[in-house]
Amino acid sequence: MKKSIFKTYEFFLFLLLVVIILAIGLINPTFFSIGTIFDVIRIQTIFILMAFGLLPVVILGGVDISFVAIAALATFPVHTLLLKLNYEGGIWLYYLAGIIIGVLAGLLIGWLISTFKLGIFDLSLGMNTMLYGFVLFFIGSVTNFDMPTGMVDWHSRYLISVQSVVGQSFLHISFLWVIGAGILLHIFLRYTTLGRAIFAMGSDKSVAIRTGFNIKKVYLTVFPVMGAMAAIAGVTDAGLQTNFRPYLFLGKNMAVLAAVIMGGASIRGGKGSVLGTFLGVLLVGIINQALVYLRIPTAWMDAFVGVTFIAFAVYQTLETRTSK
Amino acid sequence: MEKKQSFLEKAKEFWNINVSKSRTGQLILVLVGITIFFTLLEPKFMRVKTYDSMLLQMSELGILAIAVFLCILVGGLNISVMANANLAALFMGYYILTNFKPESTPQQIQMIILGGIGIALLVGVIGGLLNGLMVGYAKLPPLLATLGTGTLFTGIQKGLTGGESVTGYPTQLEFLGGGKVMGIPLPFIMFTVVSILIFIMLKFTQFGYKIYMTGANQTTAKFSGIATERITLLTYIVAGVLSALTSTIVLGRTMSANPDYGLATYVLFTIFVAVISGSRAGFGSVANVFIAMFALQTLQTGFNYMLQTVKGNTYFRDFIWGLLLIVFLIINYFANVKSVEDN
Repeated sequence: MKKSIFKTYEFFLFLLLVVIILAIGLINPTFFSIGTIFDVIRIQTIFILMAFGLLPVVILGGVDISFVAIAALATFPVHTLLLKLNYEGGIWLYYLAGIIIGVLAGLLIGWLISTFKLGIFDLSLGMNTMLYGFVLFFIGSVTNFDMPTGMVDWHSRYLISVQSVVGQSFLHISFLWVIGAGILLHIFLRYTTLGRAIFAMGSDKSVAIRTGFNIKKVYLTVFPVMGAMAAIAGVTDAGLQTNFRPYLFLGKNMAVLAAVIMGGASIRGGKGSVLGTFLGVLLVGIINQALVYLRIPTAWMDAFVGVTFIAFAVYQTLETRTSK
Repeated sequence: MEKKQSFLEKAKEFWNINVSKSRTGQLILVLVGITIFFTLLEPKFMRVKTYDSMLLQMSELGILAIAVFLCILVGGLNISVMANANLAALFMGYYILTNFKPESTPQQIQMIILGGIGIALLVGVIGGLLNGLMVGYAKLPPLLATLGTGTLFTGIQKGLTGGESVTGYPTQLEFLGGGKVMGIPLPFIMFTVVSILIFIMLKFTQFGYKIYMTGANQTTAKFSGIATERITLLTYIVAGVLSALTSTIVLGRTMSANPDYGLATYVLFTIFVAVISGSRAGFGSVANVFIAMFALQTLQTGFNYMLQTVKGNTYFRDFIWGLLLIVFLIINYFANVKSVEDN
């Protein structure tokens, strides 16, 4: 029997978002504007992209923190090389090269995990430190602001612009990546055998093996997807910020993981959805904005994320126990 | 001739039992190996001064590594230990700052510092209690539970201080971070005492035995009548206390309570120590953790000497540490495969 849409976790998240938005709007009416939504989306685009990449890993029952380092590896070295070659074209070559590097890094991780049975978290801890160390030592440690001419005005390519009381608000074209990646990932997870294998492995690994799912293939798919999404997020960020940083996304991994968990992906694996992840990231973004509008010092942000994360994790655990 | 052969055989037997099949033996061999390596390569390495600073530096991380080791032993993990320590240092600092006056006598200051240590321990216990309740009773995966609490601890500290360090403590506090008793740095004495106490706890008490049982197989332990939830809770509280002890060293050494102190590196290093000491759920010993910590510090100090003149050497060290962790994870895999085949 199909669950009613009103009983899904995604609907609960949606309601929560609406309630928070209404609550802040009542205190500070300027919060109600299409501009606010565009702001949140613009700030969160890169987080959503990374969260999409992490989602399959979490469904698998793993925790990876190295995707941020892969994003750095897939952007800064490419940029350094292309600068030397006097590249003046558009952002597309960056995306292409980045995705290739991201996929290769993901293949390496997947191969190490499936061959040597390494812990996903332990390995990612080593990878994270190693890759940042590699980029910062061997490639360079200073932010680079030289952009190829074809890429200079990419940050102002808008999809929609809206006139509002606070001024002009824009929706950047990179939002299309979010929609495209979201749809592809959703189809992959729900309607392909490999996608179902990820859920099966996350629910019960030994049963999944006995059922005949190819474990190695799953690892060799999930991590390249993660690497590619991290690379896309990295290049997008560089394009929007018009600079390339060797320490890109350093320390942002925990926030992404928290958003994926808040988005309903089970902390034990076997559960999670693209829509939920999307809403989870928006929730973190809205809380962020809400603190600003409610004039709470932003220094409290981490504490709020921590409390929300714990509350969601405990709620999730208790809920699965009562439903059993 | 015959006598010589039997000596060789004896040596071979000794090697087999104590080195090739024992993690402790391997670790001592590695430690001796890298010590000789650095001594030969770097003339400034083998000096009293080097070891003086090494003993001081390894103690902070060493106590945290034992805290993480205990959590791994009981079947969990803890990545919130440094955040917990920083928060404990903050409240210890607050207590000292509110009670300390310029006209306080040395005796009064001593009492104030002791009170501060009490506050730090209290914060450590509360942090450990929170972790233990979530992992032991609510059954959250330990990695995610401690990720949440770690974020929360750091978040509270950032909120209270606006992200700034809190400084201005009486100079007597420096004794905790670098004072010497009979020529040995106090932090190292603390690390050694903690190691011995935890060793005794694990080897000779009911509680220690139950930690091993719970870690090895929680279901079996439960059916043998062990209250696994309570054992897990208590283990995380012990880890919290160890975090608090570390906080007193950190506060004494840096004379400031900083929300970001050590956060970027300690997770890697504590897990690195756990991996090279061969610790996993239900298996491991404090002695191995102690020697592993010594080996890690020797490597760290050796690198420092060798890379002094290299530009951006901290990044290079990060690269090497990450690579080494991955290499040791793979070595562990082969060691485990071999031990399964041997049995």
